[in-house]
Amino acid sequence: MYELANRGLDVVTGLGAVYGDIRIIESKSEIIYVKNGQVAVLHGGTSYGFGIRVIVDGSWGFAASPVVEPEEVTRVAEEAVRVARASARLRNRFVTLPPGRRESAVWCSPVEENPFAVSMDEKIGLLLQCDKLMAAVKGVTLTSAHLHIETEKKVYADSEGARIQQEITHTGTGIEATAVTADEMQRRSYPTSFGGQYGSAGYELVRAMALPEHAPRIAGEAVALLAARPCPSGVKDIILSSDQLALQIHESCGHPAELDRVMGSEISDYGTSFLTPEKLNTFRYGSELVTLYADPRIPGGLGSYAYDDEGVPARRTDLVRNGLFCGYLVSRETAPLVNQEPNGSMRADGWNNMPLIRITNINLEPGDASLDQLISETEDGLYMLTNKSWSIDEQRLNFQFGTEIAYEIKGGKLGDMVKNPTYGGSTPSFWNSCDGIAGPDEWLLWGVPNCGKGEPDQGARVGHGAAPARFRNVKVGVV
Amino acid sequence: MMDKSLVERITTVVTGHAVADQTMLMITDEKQGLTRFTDNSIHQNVVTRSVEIMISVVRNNRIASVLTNRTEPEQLRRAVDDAVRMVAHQQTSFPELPPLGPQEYRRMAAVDPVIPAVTPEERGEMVQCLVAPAKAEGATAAGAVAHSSYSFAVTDSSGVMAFHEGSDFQVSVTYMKNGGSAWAQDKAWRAADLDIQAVSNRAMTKLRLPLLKDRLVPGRYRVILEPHAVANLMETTMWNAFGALQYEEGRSFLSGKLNTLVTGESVTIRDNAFFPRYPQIPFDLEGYPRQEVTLIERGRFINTLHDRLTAARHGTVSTGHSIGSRATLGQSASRLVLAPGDGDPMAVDRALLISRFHYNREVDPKHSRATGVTRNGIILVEDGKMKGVLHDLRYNESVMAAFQRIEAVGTETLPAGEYGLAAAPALRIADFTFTETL
Repeated sequence: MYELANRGLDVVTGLGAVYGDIRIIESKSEIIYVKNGQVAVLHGGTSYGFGIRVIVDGSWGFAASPVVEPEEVTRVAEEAVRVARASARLRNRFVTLPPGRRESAVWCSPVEENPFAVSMDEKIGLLLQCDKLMAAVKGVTLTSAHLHIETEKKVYADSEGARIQQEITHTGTGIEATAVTADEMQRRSYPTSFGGQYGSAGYELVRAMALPEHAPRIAGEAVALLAARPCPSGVKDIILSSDQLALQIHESCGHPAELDRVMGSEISDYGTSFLTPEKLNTFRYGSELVTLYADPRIPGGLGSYAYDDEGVPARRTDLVRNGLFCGYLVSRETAPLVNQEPNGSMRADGWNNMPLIRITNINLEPGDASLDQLISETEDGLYMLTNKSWSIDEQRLNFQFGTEIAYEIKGGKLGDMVKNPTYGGSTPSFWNSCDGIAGPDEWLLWGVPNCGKGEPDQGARVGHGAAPARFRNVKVGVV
Repeated sequence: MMDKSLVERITTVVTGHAVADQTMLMITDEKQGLTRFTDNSIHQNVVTRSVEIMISVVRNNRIASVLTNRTEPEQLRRAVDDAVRMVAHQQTSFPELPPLGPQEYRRMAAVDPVIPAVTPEERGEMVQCLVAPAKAEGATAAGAVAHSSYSFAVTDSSGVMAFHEGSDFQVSVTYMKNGGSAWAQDKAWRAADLDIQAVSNRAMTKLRLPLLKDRLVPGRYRVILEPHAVANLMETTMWNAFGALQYEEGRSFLSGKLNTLVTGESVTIRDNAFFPRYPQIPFDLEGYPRQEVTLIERGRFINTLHDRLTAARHGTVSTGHSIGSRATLGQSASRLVLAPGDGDPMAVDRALLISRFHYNREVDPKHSRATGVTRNGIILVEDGKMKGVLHDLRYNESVMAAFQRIEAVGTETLPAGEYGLAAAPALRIADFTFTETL
């Protein structure tokens, strides 16, 4: 495969590119989706192609093709150079890169049990079993269960000499029960919503989730929510489950810490960021308890890998340390703008997209409390679990989230279930109100498989680790 | 790009190899060019081509599918073998559907031969047209010029040969100066229909408005929604609302409301894949010809969208809105077109003009309730004139309820929205609910 890569790189450098990289990617996937006792989707897939990125005359160009043949590599390489030259006609900054490291590596994400090797009958059987268990609960009207596995083999080479092969396997699974009346619809999911739990793992992830054990519980909760009281409106202390915190971290820390956003690359579409460079090392993002860091090296994370899509080794980067904003997710091009080292944050969605700065695994350091302790120390609050809706402004300041379920907390004790819970606020005020985080025993690493960014829209698979945490005086019931 | 003869050859290879009762193919070939710019400078410029072939096999009414992007006969046969292996494990037997056979599709103009030939240099010149006014104004410009051309086919072993070629051109720009910003966008299937200068002018006119220091408090306001903002609301709440299965399952806010008034009488919404300015593919994922369907007529909800299975259950015919999978997931709209009116939304003493909403999400799907934020500022309109720009707000609103409070419907329906699903005129709506000040 490196022969084809070398051919492309020879072409682009021969045409005047000062830099070029090529990614040749082959992926394989399998999706099983069961709904209301039927195997609604039984699907396999493969994809194969390559993309070439170049710098010519101080500007970027990118071209890609699904035809992985020598002549096509030459044609696409020439096209990438032409595109870059066209870009150079309208630029106000000359793109340069810090020196590369000529990395050479072969890396596979750890997999204990190859999910493609597990028999189809076993996988379908598990999902149908869960579906049946949920459907048996009186009042449940819709049930579904889902399994998604994917392996991506990626060959990376650049004109500076890097030669890297990675094979990364992702597995995701989840179940969902919905109860509908004429005027209302309530849903509960397990392990979490929007597809369930995902990780860089094999079938061991599915076994660890023990889906059938939870199926009757969540079905019962969906039905019980219909009769629950609505979420009260007002200002309350809230405790967020770790899966809801994962999305809170994603939207209010992950995206605003992407330096390309900060520099305006998403102004017209996905938006900007309030974390502007003058705030670096001066801005109080959160309370002293809050340390948020990016780390693609963590085993099992959905944003885990050894090298990013410009050949930079993955590394830990603190974004917020003890409440102080202290770092960005950066690329090779943007790192010098904020005096950071490239931290392995550039990724593309497949072979036919240009890499962008993407969230990796961004995690909240655990504290030293426990969920029970946080509840017991809360006089009047809500414990809110599992995301249902999310919206945040283009600078990533004002947000509103909804969760599937919440429980009242009165006098330090968990009380009644409430339905349609929502909360909202402003990112720095919210994180500065954090006064308790549960410890490492309750810290979980969640996978978010549907992160979006860029034009054309690129998906990314990312991870967020968190333990339950408490936030004081938050506006709830905002609808 | 793939032409019809190549689609036919691929179909012959696949159907000839599959040992199945029925074999279906969905074939996409798309070439895209995109130039993005920020701070008056190009920062991303790409040319890509993607091919996808979805092969579904049916045996004893059991279905499995495999996706590949390889067109070589050997690779196609391998994908068929994979699908046949998978279907042996399928435990669900779906209701039997008779073979569809060859169909007639409505002809429509949807592909501009100019678009595949647009070069990166020409895109750069278009970007220059958007950047130059910003420089002249002492402002900065960001945005994108994007085009694609594609062929899409649905074929099967019963003789279905649905083939469509289309093109798409989109331009967007955000101008920024002194802490203010203004945005405009246009999209069309034909390059000549895009007026880049007009896009620039629309944004620049708003950028030149004074920034007002007044603070709006959360509450209910009379709003004028430009077509893009209307389309944002429609895409967020309605994309999945009109399907017959969603209706049956009670998931839709329209469930149980057929033949009742659900909006004000000024609202007529059709699903129209043949909307001339921005047409959709004229067949669905079963290869069934799409029909124009009036969904809401003068406020009354009168039709759902069907595929062949739900149509059979309801004793009617398919409307051509299958998304595959034999109706287990529901049916989806193709192009929701809100009919124009004869009003002038701007003819009002005082209102808040909104260009677009951002990060819109359904909060309560059973009541079409959504949240999101205004973007690039809210423009105060007094005596029918734009007076200045106010800060943004968060809304929480039931779209169906808001559509009961429409005071004026604009005279031109335009393609708009983030996902290409909707076309809408401008609307003036009373008492639109904002819950947060940004």
